[in-house]
Amino acid sequence: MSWRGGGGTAVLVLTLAVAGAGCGGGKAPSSAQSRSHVASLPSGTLPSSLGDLTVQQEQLPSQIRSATSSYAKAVGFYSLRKNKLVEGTLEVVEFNSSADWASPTFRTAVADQVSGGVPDELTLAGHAVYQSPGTGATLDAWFSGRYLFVLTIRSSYSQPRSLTESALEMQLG
Amino acid sequence: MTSTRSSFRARRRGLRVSAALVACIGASSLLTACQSNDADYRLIQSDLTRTAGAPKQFVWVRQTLAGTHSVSGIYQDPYRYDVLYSQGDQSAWEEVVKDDAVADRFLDANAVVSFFQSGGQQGQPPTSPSGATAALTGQGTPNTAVAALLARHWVLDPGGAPQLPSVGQELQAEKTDPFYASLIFLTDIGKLVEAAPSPQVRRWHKDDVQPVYKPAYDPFPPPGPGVERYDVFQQPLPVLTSNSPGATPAPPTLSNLVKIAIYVKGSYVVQIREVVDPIDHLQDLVNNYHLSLPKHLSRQGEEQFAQQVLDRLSRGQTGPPITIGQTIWQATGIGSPQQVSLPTDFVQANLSVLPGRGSKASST
Repeated sequence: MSWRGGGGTAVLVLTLAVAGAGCGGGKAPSSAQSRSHVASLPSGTLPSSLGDLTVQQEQLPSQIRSATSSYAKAVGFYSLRKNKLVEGTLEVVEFNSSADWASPTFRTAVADQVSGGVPDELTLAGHAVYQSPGTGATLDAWFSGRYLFVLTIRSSYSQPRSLTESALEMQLG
Repeated sequence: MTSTRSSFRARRRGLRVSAALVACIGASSLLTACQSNDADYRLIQSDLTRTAGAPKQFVWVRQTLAGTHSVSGIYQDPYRYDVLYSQGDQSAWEEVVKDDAVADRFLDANAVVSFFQSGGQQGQPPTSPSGATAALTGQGTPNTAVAALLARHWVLDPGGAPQLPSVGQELQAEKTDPFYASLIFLTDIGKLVEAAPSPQVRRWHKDDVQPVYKPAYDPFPPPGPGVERYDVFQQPLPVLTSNSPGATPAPPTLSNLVKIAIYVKGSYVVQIREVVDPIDHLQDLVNNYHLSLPKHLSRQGEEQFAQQVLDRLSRGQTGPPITIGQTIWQATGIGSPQQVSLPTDFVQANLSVLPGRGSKASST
């Protein structure tokens, strides 16, 4: 995958680090869960396009697949492309049963760590969206049931808000 | 004697018991009051945040010595809203924002230009249409967007939605964007509540023995049925300290002179009234800052004098301006779905002629 100016994999690793044992809001993973590896979300979980961008599932790095002691049951990592150019990335994390994913404390802690600080909190399409403007890209994170979504959008992309709203309204397959 | 000593000891014991009892009651009532007030503060901040994020229809009216302007509209979320700016009774500018797109229509171009020229206050309109054109373009020749706006057409820019001002530019945004102050009003009130002296807010009760605003100085109406009113404490005026330069206290800020009442129904804020009225403090201002108050001023004369004094004292300060007047914000349909739609009959053009808007602005 070519990402000229973004750090999608770094964000993915960060997400998993957060979804791992570092977050105080969740229960400690059980020994059975500790032994579980993180699965890849099945293909077809996301629609084939979002706005004017093509959604393409990317392979998870081996360090993610081999991670244990995690709150993540499965992870999907997607590039959002216009022609061949990556305009954004979307990571979807499905929490396992050891994560207290419904707890506001857990969610805030995850959002803070994903954002690398204290993000702005917006209410969009009924979701609390944690937004962190960055250099070259904007990061939006939100929760939907037991899923965490992390959307990174290149700053030069012309329809960032439409993309965020489309992603928020998206139904998982 | 023994009897007297016993009686004395009994009385002292009784006094000690009574004192202890009073202390306990006092402490517990203080504790209850603190807990109660702290709970009020947390409740208000929570209600403000919840209401700010909720879809709603709202009206924001600001009345100052310069006149009245207002914004009314539908708010779906921060990326989707439809707002109308008016001066007095005259509708002046309508804007619809939906995600990355923005559509604008001038209903009274002269009023819009007067807003820009007066730096966010109602001012004198330009004397001719060409004056409005020049004010919008910086030259005499209108581009497509300006020509369409002056002809009262909708102009749509698919990628020109207003961008949030960068940190530190919020006050400037209020001077160039008539909608901005209304859209962030609840956030601004939240900041003033946070800055208020502890316990920040107190629920209003009829005949309260410790009201936030004494009845003679309370400018707000009591709440209606099913509505609770919460009043925000004022910061005291700055006082002279050993560090004060020029033997005068630090300049007053908005939080020294603003009175705020927040009306809550259920878990939503349904109305906020904010009054900036330094007349209560006029004599203190005169004394603290060694001013000379002209004699025989009318109420309006006192307000004009106070505004001049505040403008002078706050020159060079970084906080929000202190503008004498009142602002009323109220909302209906809070939490109910609201739908915003872009106009269907429009001229497509780049709206970068308007501050903070336009396709160019959105890519920065």
